[in-house]
Amino acid sequence: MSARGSGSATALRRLMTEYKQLTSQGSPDGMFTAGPVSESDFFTWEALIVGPEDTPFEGGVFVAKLTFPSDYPLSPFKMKFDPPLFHPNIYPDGTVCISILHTPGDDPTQYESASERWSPVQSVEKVILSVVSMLAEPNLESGANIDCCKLYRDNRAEYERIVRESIKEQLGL
Amino acid sequence: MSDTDYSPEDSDAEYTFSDDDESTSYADDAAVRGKAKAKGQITFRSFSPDDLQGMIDKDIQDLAAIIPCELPIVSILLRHFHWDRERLLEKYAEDACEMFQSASEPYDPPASPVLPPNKRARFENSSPDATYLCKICYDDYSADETFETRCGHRFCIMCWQAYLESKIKEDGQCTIKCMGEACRTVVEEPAIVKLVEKPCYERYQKLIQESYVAANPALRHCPHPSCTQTIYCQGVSGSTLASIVPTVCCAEDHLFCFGCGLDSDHKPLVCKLVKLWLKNAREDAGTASWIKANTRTCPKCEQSIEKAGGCNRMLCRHCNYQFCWLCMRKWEAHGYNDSVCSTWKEPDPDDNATDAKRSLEKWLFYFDRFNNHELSSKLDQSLAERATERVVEVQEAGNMSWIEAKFMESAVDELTRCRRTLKWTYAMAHFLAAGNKKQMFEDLQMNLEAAVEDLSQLLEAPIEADTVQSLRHKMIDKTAYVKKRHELLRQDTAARLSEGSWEWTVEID
Repeated sequence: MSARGSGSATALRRLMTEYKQLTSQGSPDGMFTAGPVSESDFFTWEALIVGPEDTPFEGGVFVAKLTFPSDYPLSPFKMKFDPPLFHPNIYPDGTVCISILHTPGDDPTQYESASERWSPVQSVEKVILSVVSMLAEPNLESGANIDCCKLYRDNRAEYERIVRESIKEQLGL
Repeated sequence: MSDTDYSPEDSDAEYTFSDDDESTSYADDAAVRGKAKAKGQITFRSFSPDDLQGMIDKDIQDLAAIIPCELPIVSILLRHFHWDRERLLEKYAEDACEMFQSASEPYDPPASPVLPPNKRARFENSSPDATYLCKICYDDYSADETFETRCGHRFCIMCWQAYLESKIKEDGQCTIKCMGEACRTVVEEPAIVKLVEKPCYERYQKLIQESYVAANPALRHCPHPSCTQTIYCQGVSGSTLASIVPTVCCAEDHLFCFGCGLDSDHKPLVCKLVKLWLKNAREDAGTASWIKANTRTCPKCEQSIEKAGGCNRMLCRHCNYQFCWLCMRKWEAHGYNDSVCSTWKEPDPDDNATDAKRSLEKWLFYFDRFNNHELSSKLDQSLAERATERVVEVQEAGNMSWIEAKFMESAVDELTRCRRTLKWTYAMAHFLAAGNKKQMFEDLQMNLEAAVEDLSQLLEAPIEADTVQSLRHKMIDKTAYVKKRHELLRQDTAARLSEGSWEWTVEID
C-alpha cells in the first residue's frame, strides 16, 4: 500500500478525479467551469465563475486562479480572483477569504468555528459553490477588504454601483 | 554538576527544598533553621513521563466510574472540559445529553454503553469482497483497507493515516475531528493507535500530557531542553509568589522556578521583579552598555582588555597597572574587602542631573554587575577546567589521593551557586528602596561578594607539586566560608520575603 503513499501522488489522483467529475457532470445550473491551466501542471487551475443572478455581480464572468498544495486534500487550495473583485470578503489583491478554505488551525479573523473549515472531504466544486453564495451574501463579520465592508454597510447603493461599473469595464462596455 | 544539596534521592519520594537543607554542615544553627523551615518552604515532587501518564489514566478511570462510558470517550470529554472534572460533572448532572453534545459526542443513555447496534450490524453484514470508494483519494479499496469511525465515516487507511499524522505532527493537536464533512466527532485514542505509526502515537500521547499539564496549575514541565520531567507542586499561586521564591529541582537535577518557569534558580528576587528585570535587560541588550560589560580599556594605557577569569582584579599586560574590573579604579583603592564598588550611591539631592538620567545610571550600575557575575561564572568554569587538569597531573605524580583532589570541583560548584545568587542580588538591589534594610542587604551581599572574589582568585593560583597541599587547605577553608555566607544571605532574604518586610521601589502585589 505504501506504493501509493506519497502526498503529491494522492493529490494528483484526487485532482484528476475531481476534474473528471466536473467535466462529465458539469456544475449545477452551469454556474462555473474549472480545470487545470495546462495538462503538464495539475496543481494550478483556472475557474470561470458566472455572477449569480439578482446580485450586482449578475452578468459578469470572473476568472479565479486555484493553487493546490502538494499535500492536497489534507490542506486546502488557495483561490485568487484575477483581476481582483470588489467584495467585502476578497482581499484587495484578489485572494478569497472564506472559512471553508481555512484549516482549523489557522484563523486570520478569529471567529470561525471549526465545523465550517476545510476538511479533506471538501472539494473544488463545494468550495466554488460556497464562493458563489458568498458573492451574493457577503459576510461582514470577517471582512478582508475593510473599505468595501464599510461601504457595503453604510452605502449599499454606492457599493452596488461600483461593482456594476467594474463588471462593465471588464466586459469592455 | 554535582549539586548534592539539591538532588533528590528518589524521584518518587516526596521531599522538601529550602535553603537550610539537611545536608548542610551547620547543625548547631538549629534555631535559625527552625525559623526558616516554617516559612518560605515548598514541597514538590518530580514525575517521569510514565508517572504523569499514570496520573492522567487514573483521572480518566476515576471519572469512568461515575460516567458510564468507555475510557477513550471519557478522555475526550475531559479534554473538552480542559481536564476540569468538577465542571464536567456539574454539567453532567445538569443535563447529561447537553454535556455530551457540547463535546460533539453521541450520547449513549446509561442503558447501552456499547456501540449503537445499527452501526455494529452494518459493519458485520458488509460482505468481505465489497469495495469502497474512498472519497478523499478516489481509489477503490477492499473493506480491510478502509477504516470506519464510530460516527460512521469510512475512508481508506492511507488517507486516515496522512490526515491524522499531519494533524498530530504539524498542527500539534490531540483533539482531532473526524474527516467526514461537517462531522465534529473526535477521533478516539484506540483508532489513533490503529491508524498512525508508533512515533506519531507517542507524539499524540505527549500532546495529551501537555494539555493535561497546561490545564493543571500544580504541574509544570521542566524547562530545560530535552528534559522530560514534570514537577508537581501545590500551593504556588499568584499571591504566594510575592513572599516565596519556589525554586524546584527535577529528578534530572535541573533547577528552575516553579512560579515563573525561569530555567535557573533566581533566589532571592521574587518572580515578578525577575520578569521586570529581564524585560529591561532584553530592551537594553543591544545597547553599548552590554558590549561595555564584556570588554574594557585599561584606565591607564587605554589598551583593550578582555576578562579571562572570574576575579575582578585586573592586571594590564601592557602597563602592569592593577585595577578593579567593576569600578575601574586603582586596585589598591579597595582591595578584596571593597565597600566601594558594590554599593550604589544614591546621588546628592542637589545633583542637577535629570531623573531619567539618574535612573539610567542606576540601571546600568546594577545591570553591569548582574552581567559581570554571569560572565565571571562562565569564566570561573573554564579556568577551573584548566586548573583541574593541572591538579590531576599533580595527583597522578603521586602527591595526593583522588578524593583529596576533589577540592577544586567543590569550590567551583559553590562559586557557581554563589554567583547565581549574587547576580540576582544586584537585580534585587535595583528594586529595593533606599533605607536601612537595603543597607543591611548590601552588607550581606558585599560580604559574600568579597568572599567569592577571594575564592575565585585562588582558582588562578599556580598549582605546583610542593604547594598544592597548602592551596588545597586554603581553598577548602574558603569554600566553607563562602558557603556559610551564602546560606546566611539566602536565609535572611527568604525570611524577610515571607514576612513581607522588604520595601520596593515598584509595586509587587
